[in-house]
Amino acid sequence: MAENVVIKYGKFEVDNRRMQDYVQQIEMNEAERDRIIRSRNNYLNWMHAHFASKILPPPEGSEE
Amino acid sequence: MAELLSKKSFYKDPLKEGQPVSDELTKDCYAVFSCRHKFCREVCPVYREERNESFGSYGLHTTLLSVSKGIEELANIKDTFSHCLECGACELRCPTTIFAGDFYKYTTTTVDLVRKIRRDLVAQGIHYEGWNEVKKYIDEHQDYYDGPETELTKWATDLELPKAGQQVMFVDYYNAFQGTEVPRLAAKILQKAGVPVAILEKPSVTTGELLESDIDLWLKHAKQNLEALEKAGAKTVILLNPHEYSYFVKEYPKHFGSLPFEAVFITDYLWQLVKEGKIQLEKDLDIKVSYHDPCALNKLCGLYESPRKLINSLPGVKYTDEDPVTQWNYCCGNGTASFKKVHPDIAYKIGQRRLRGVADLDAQVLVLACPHCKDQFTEVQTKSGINVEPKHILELIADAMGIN
Repeated sequence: MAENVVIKYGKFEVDNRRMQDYVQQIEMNEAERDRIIRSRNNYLNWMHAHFASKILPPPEGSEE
Repeated sequence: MAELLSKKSFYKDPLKEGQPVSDELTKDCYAVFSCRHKFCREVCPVYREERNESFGSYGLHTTLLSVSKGIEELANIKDTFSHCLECGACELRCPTTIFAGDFYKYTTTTVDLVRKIRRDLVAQGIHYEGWNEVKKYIDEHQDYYDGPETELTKWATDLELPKAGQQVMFVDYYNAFQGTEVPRLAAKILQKAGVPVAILEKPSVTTGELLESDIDLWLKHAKQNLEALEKAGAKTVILLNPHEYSYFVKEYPKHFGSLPFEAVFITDYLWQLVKEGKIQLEKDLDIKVSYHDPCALNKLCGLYESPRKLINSLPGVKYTDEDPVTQWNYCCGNGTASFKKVHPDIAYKIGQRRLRGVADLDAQVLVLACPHCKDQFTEVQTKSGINVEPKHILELIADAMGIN
């Protein structure tokens, strides 16, 4: 893995050692991070609900 | 709900014609320009109608990048940046935000960028087409502020609401002068529920049109609001307008730190009262409804549950839901600031598309939680003749409680 990961408040966060210069982290609180996590989960659930049943298995015989 | 803090400090530096764009802002634009997914345009209600790449998040960031590279001049981008609803769909759907924002603590912040660019242009006297209508609205609200105090609470004259207390309902100028039925219904519902609710004697200006034109003046009014609420003894401030709710939980903390009270949106507050049994929803309404998530609640603040819970508690209501994620795509067309005033034609097309979608669901009523949505959909419904009635959720709750 390219990044070091730390765990803060029970959630994964990048070790921001490499975000001190070219790209810096923005000021963000835990509630905003929670909102993003919740939105991501909602979005993935939405994608699953809309498309999971439409994924087709590969044709027979293609496992060879 | 807790305050949502997300702040890029380099947005504070004003852009000026003929002066270089800062490195930080250039990198911020590159972060979006370098993306090739363009999921942002797929959720943009303006792009859906206009099919113009310039108007989505990708287009806006790229346009600013062209100024940074000396390809374009600042004055020439004014009408591009006026085409944003500031609804927040793009910055939420952006993979940088939704898949990596919490991990890297870096997100796309298109709404803040658009507000900043509009402010920086206005500060230099560079006015986009339609600015005169926006200026008129800002001046109107400033006139309310400068006028007799009694006019600010005239909507509540017969309701005998105290001017101090632990629960204070913040009523912005739009609700105080144009959409008075919303605060009046809220007050009557809370009174019937036995909640002693107060209002401010003199609320200050909060309008989004001012936030994207003169932030110093907007913050001066914001400080006065906070001081007035503290002086009134507020421990809980109930917001009725999603726009103001987003300012209290997202903008005020950026500039003033943590709020000295809890800011609650009216639907969250009422749902709590329903759970406690203080609100009895008894009258059978016998209607088929759907619900429209206000952009400022759903996309900007992630608040979508309490309105649905309230609707599902209303007796005799057949409710067809549309997922809050589906609704990232939707907007009433008003926008969270000046969009409708500047682009009324596009605003109408966006609202018409939305209302037609509701008619296709076979719903008679579109339930709303935003007075601006109510105003916009009422206008669209009248002009288009689409057979869907826009109603504020407080109207239905009041009906179910037997309040006239």
